[in-house]
Amino acid sequence: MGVEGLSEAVSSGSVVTQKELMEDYGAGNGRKGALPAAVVFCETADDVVGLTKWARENGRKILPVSSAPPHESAVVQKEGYVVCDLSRMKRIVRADRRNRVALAEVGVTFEELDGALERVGLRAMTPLAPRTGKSVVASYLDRTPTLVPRAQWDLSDPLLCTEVIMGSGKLFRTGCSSGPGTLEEQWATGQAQKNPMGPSAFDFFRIVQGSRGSMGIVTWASMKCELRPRVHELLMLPSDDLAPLIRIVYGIAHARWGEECLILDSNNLTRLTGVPGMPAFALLVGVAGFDYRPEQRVSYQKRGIEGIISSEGARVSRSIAGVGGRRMLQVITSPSDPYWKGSPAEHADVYFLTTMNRAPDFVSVIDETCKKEKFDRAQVGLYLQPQLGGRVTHFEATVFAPREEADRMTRALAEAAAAKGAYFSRPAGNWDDLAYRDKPLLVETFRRTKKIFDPDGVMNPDVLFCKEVV
Amino acid sequence: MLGKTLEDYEKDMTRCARCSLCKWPPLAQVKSIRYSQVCPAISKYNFHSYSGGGKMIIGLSKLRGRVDYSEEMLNVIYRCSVCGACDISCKYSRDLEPLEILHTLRATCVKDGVAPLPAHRPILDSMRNYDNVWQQPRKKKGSWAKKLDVKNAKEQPVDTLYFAGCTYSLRPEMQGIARTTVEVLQSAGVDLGILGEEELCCGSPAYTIGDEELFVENARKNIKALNSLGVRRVVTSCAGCFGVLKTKYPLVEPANFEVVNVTELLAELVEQGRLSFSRPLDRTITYHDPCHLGRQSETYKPWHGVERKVLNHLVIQDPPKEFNRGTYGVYEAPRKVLAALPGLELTEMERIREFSFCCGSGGGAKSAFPEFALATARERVDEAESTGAEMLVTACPWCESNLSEGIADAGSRLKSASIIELVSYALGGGELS
Amino acid sequence: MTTEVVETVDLPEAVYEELKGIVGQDNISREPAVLDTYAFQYIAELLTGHSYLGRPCAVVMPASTEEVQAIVRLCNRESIPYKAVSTGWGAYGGSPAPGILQLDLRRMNRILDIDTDNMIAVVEPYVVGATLQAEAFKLGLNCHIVGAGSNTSILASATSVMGQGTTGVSTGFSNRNLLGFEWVMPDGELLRVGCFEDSDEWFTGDGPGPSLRGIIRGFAGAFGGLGVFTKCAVKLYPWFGPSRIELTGVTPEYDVEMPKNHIAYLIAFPGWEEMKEFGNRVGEAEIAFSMCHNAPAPMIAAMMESNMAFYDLWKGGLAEHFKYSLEVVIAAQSEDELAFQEGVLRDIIRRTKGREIISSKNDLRYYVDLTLGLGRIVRQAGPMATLRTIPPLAQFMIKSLMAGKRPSMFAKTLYISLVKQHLNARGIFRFGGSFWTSMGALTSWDCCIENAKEGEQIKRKWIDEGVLMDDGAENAWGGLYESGCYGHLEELGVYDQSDPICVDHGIDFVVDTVEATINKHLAMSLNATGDPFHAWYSPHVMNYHDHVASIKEEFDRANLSDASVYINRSIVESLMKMIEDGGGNFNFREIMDLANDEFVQTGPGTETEELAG
Repeated sequence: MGVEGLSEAVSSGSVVTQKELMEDYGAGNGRKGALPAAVVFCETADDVVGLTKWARENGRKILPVSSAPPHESAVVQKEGYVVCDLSRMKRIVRADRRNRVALAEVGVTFEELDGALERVGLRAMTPLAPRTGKSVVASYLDRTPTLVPRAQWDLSDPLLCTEVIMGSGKLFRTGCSSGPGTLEEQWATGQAQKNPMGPSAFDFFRIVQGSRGSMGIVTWASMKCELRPRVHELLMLPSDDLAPLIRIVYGIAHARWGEECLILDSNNLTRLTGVPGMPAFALLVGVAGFDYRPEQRVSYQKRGIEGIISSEGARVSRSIAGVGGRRMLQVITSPSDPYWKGSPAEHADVYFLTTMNRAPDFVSVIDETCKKEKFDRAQVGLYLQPQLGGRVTHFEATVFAPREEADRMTRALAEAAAAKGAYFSRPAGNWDDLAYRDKPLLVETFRRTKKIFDPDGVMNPDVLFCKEVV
Repeated sequence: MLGKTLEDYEKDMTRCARCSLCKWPPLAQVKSIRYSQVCPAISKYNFHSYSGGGKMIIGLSKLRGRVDYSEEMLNVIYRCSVCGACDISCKYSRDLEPLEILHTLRATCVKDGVAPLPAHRPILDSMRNYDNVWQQPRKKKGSWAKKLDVKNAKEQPVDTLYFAGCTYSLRPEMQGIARTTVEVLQSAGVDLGILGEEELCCGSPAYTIGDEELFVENARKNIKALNSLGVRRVVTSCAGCFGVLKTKYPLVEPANFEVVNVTELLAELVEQGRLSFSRPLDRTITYHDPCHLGRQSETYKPWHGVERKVLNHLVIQDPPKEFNRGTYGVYEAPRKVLAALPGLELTEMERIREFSFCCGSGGGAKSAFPEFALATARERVDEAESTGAEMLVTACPWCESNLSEGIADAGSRLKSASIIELVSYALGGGELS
Repeated sequence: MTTEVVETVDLPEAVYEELKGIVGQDNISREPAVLDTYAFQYIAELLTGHSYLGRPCAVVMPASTEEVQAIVRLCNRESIPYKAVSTGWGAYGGSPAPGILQLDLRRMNRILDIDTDNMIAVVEPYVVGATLQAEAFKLGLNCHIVGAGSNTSILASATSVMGQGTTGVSTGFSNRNLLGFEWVMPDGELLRVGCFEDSDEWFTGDGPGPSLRGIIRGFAGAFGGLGVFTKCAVKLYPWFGPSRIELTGVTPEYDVEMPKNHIAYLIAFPGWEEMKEFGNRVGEAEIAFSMCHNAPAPMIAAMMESNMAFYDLWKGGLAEHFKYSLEVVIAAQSEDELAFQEGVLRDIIRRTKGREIISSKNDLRYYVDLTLGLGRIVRQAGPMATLRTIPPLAQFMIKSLMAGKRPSMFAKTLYISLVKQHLNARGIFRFGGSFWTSMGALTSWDCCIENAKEGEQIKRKWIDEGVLMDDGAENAWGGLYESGCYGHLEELGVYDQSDPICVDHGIDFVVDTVEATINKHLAMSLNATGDPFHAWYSPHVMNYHDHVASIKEEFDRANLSDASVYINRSIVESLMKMIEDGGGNFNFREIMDLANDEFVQTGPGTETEELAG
């Protein structure tokens, strides 16, 4: 399909149509797909507006991409799509220590953001060892869990305000960034785009978040940041049994202590550190002191957390399989290169939300499904991330296998988990349909919502809820 | 209060914020969701109109000619035990008078000829015709004391007059309590007298139903009679009589006697060491604060001032007005008495003292809407049961009677008793059920 | 006696009978006296000029989701506008248009579940802050209670209204605490949003994929304009206190037994800038259970049993002692955590030139501060002002001491009011009878203070005009949320709703503050609800009305879920045009009246397609 008029529509962005430059966005990495008609490297919001208008006028579909390749989920499915690649939008507009907030364009990666934040005494809220080149805003827009449950007040955190181009072509700003006044005028009165809600009686950022680009394209976002710790330690607790770790996680959550808090299994621990011989499970809990009496904070929290741990008859380990706390902390919080899970061709994930007390049920589901499917259980890694202050747990199983086999297994695992009540809050992969199974009214409601903001359906209509449901 | 009209309260009614504070105890006192309601009427009927605030709005709507009387409107107004809990909760935070407005609304209904309700008429007629509420001949009023060796205050000077009240005097199942009261007080050396068949109704039902004329007539007769006795104090064991004698009579005419409740007198006697308890009760009990002994027993201080605004819109009263907020109700005296009884453990309900949940009997509710009165009693019995107590103790015949019905209706294992019965038992007299 | 003309709309007899069949005879009423108790609402006078909104055609009290759904379906079938209320406080619960069917959800009053481990409660609409908190305390948990008070519905705050509470720094904000929810959509369809259909648990309302939380509400909710919410889950928070806070004494003054490791402080500052600094630091240090600003007038009022007692103290100038002040509660679960929190708090107080006026722990400080305070007044206001201050202060102190009340008792009163949110009516309604609020954007703490500064200036003018009570002009209320991520300070204006000058001009103060937030870029005022405000605000805020109106039109095509406080596109856009045609010069009162008239005539029950056409 031709892309006549597209270059004129995007004033500062560049339009690429060479096949070899577009392969990253289509088939490959073990995934089925099609080549896009063009890739537009947008550099400004105006470019995105121009592209959207062009797409509406020409009946074309847009797939937004923000991170550097390899792309995991943002893969063109059908011919004729135009990719809106925002990875060149790399301005870090503000790194604001006073308000503990950053405002960055969508192409900014974790490593880029963290460098800027470090200079002002802040740090980004990171997911578990994100791959280098991963867009911070894209990660947050996907509600990828971050490591510090205590600091997460809403599952939408750390995402705050956004600038979005709707499928209708309208540019909109969400939360208090919407006005009155420009960003500069808002900064002049001490604002810092920290309230994500509104404007008025809708939270458009919540509709965009989790929509995989199907409601609008975000060009920048403000995000919560944490103070950079002055003192930072990681407490590690290996265990053959998940049950005591779960009780300890609840104890810590109810105390509102600690920073990072997560459980990894031996497979993931080995993949992350490169060190074999890891325990069946390990609970990792960060303790930090910030600008106010940092040592005292670390001291009393460590004492408290160790008390919770000892009540389970356990003790904190200085190292696990020879990996000390400092190194482990570095591993889990830093961008990973090469990515610890390998390329998209080498693994697939299935993840869902549950509560921590139900995690053992789902571990059993993994065990039983592997057995049933005659799949080597040792090739499945588990990651349990408490979220929302410990109220919710992100349960993630990574199947380390060639893509086709990995897909077969993730499907089987997802089916089995669904039967046990897994809640697929972030539908993805080849199991996204399970999220909407038997929920026709919900799907219809999402569709009606999309119609409001994207009346012509130009924004990534391959997301499942946009399709016809049989 | 007496003689007021809805016009007098227009500003108060307009200033209701419809915040619903009148539905709960003072909010800091909410201890569970189960016992979080304080107003019996809205607890049963649910429409906002049944709350204290709702009735203020009805008063305003009536005043402004927005509504006219109907059977349902009268039901809303009278399905209420006038327990005053709404008043306490409102006045915890506001300078408004919900209970006075509620009374004035009823008084307006009576003046307009749409009330009393048919069920109330026999009571008021009985007061007019027989000077008691139970439609009994006057001479029966003294029968309860026939076998007692007690002075007739009309004939002999006494220090303290025991005002038995219609229910203790005339209800066979209650008469024993009146006798016990006399015996206990006499045993402690109180110079006590009674009026026997010359005792008149206190007038409380007329007041709560809104028949101010009848109430004033009764009050005047009583004040005159009691003043003529020259007694130092009048003691009642009926909370209803106590409430009206203490708080409403001063609005009618000055009295030359002090009004005390028997629990106050008992507490005084305990403190003075004039009652020595020897018999252990070995029971766990809970205590129900009667509305008219508790929150509605503060002497009303007549205020004849004007509202003034300072700081543009700060509403104050000139001269300063002392609001009755339930602060000085009789809460401690019964508890002091109970604490002095050997082997007795008091376990409190959640809604006590000034935010006690009503038994459901008052305000004409029992006669006109018995199902409402019973439902209210059931609610209170349920709360009493939740304490684990064996016995529900109170100090009011109306409460005791209605709560007993509630106990029976619920099939509860609780026993009900009057505080004087426990005292008598601990002194070695009588038996407890 | 006057006779007000009341416009009424009768419910067809057959519909009444059908409704009766749904809820039962005892749970429906069309008695005018009953209906008026729903039409009478707080701040109605500012909207309609008198105390009442439109009179509903009937009130029904469903007891279950199924009954709500049946009612809403019936309303759709018969084209009857409807609106649900939970506790029903405020003009947002009714409609200026007569004839809506009012759903009173009082009978839906159960706490369906408290998941202790996962700190989640599932509630029905009539569960209020006081009841949920009482039950949560027993399990070592607490909930967020909005500033309106613990007499308000947890569900309504989370799904439909707005609301921020005094413990927000540690318990978040109502919008953000919402998890799964059950929604009878405007057309009567029942949508359960979140995980509970998969897992019987309610731990999230987001997804799968996008979050429909973004449709049902934003900073503000739809105020009953988008169907009925029948159940919801909310986050609970750890409570480091006893299962019950014991109070002693009798109304109107209760003393509280301070829980172990809890301390309440009142801290004063030289000015706004120091308050800014303090708030930012306390937020990021994450030491506070509560951090809140109450202006001197409501704070003193909350301590006093009556307006008269307040006035006695106020007229002496006591407020000078703590005009710029913040209330802070720290609540630790261990002694060493308490030592940390206390230590950090003292560091911050020192760095921000704060003064600890009273604390629940220390009586001596109060007397020291008082002495210093008199010195300050002498310096600032001269000896005459000081002389005026001494008698009422001395009288107050002597009276307090004679009553056995030490200064720490006042700190304890502050404590319990912050924890339980039970003194709000005393602190704001008692003065003149009513108040309305203004400014109050949720924004960075620095900008919150700018809001407060501006609000004070604007209010002074309306105090001088005699429209508002002279509460010292500075009467900002608010605090921090989510460890200080954002805060809010709304400017309260106290008035007497029985006084014509207030009824006629009370709105003018609000209008001035809205104008200031637009012209001075002070973030979007919390007043920006309802069509007149949308018309004014939307062009300055990305024309948001277009999207909100689209949501309303899409999900309530029959336009029956009363949107008087939500949005009506045709009204908003015609008002916008009026404002534009006037070159920005307009009389807001006229706009409000027009909007009301328009709403009454064309609002509820008018199909949105027709309007759009």
